[in-house]
Amino acid sequence: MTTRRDPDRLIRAFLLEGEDVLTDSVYDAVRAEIDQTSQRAGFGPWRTPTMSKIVPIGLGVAAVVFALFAGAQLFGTPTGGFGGPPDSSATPAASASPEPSVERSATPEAIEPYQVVVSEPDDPVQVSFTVTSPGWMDLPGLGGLTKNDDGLDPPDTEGIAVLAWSWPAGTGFHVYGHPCQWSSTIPETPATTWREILAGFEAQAETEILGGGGPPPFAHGIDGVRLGLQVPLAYEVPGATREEEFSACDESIYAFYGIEGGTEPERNAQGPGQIDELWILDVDGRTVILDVAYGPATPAELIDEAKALVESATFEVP
Amino acid sequence: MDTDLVTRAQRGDEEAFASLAVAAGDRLHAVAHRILRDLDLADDATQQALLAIWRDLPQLRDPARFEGWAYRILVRACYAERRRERAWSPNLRLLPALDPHGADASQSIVARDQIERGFRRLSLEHRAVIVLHYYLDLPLAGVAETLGIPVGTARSRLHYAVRALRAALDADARTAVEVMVR
Repeated sequence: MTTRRDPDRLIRAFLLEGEDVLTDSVYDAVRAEIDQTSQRAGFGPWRTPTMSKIVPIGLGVAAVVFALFAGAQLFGTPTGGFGGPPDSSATPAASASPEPSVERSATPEAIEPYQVVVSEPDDPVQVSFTVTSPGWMDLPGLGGLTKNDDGLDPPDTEGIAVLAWSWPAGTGFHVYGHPCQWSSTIPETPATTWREILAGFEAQAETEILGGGGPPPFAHGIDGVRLGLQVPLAYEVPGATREEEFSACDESIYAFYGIEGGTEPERNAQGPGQIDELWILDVDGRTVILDVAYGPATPAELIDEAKALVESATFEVP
Repeated sequence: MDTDLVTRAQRGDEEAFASLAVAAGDRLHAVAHRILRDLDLADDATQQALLAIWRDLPQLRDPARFEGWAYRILVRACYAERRRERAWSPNLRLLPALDPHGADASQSIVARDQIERGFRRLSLEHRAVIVLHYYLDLPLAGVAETLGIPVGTARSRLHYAVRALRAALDADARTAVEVMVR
């Protein structure tokens, strides 16, 4: 082989040619656009919060439309697993003065209860939680609270997050046929009711549903279901990044569901072993999903606290 | 890369991000240009990549891995630009040779012409592997990590891409080599 025909040398020489300087106009355009572009919440590392939306109880959350779940039986005990229907005999709670009713194996330090609106201002349903234990922080831009944010993802994190997301009536959900091959397993017909969403999760490959789903009504006429999902631990690669662990998945993302018309998944997993306990609800025709997300290392007492938050939820339809 | 800048930008510091963009912009653009072989597309891809980097930066767990993560976003942006620009001109535009030091400069130009033709026949996935490996000097494991693909896939793509370029260099090659896409 002659020098001229040495492919490696020729390829390297060929690649040395080309423009190496990015023009100022591109930098200017980027700077102009980032002013208008919000950063995505880094739900991977549980984020440093602000407390901007916290409203002390008693300041008047007068427009609460729906008083919601109450009773420890509604969500079960932390060690008793989850999934299955909420108990329809649960006693409704007054929205402005909820009293946590979950018995905890380790009672956290008592604080003066306060109510926090966790939804974003434009959300179709405004969800509030009543916080009765210390350490819960806002997840800015994400619609939720977190506690014990240790900067780690499942399965390593000991933290937990409680998300409260809502969508307008008639929103179509794409519950992917396979969370890893989500982009090629989008169902032909989007789910528009909690029953259809539940059916989607039940049919979703690989997703382990912890406990059975069930369709009994919630108190006060709010229908819904609760179920738990777990990302298989088989994806775990010690020391790897989330993207590396999910590198075999579409766009290195492991995703549970998306929204019709959206180009990206709505909810993707932060890591193998992640558990998401979902409460999928119909609130006056709008879909609300309360999502308690944690890892296998999250202490049971913390999971119990998070469920107490969900129990305290109140909903306002603007 | 200055991890402090990355960390500050992750927290929404626009000035820190601007510094980060200036530090990384030329290199990102150079890679985009080499993958796409078109300056306008490379500008657009780099711009989109920088915006995606800003948007997704809080989701980067390890600031020390910023560079590889940014290249992955850039390659995706290149794929997206190529999809948007289906009216890609097949005409060759020879770039000035920077290394015509061979005994026969015209032969060098011919060889580069051949390799350019061969390169343009490659899929973007194969081009990306070639650029990351030969231009950024990333080992195969680094190429695989950057692209988020298994090492075996990176090796396979490199193998087929080099084979295709070798065929393009063959003066007797009259037909294009179809490159298998994995």
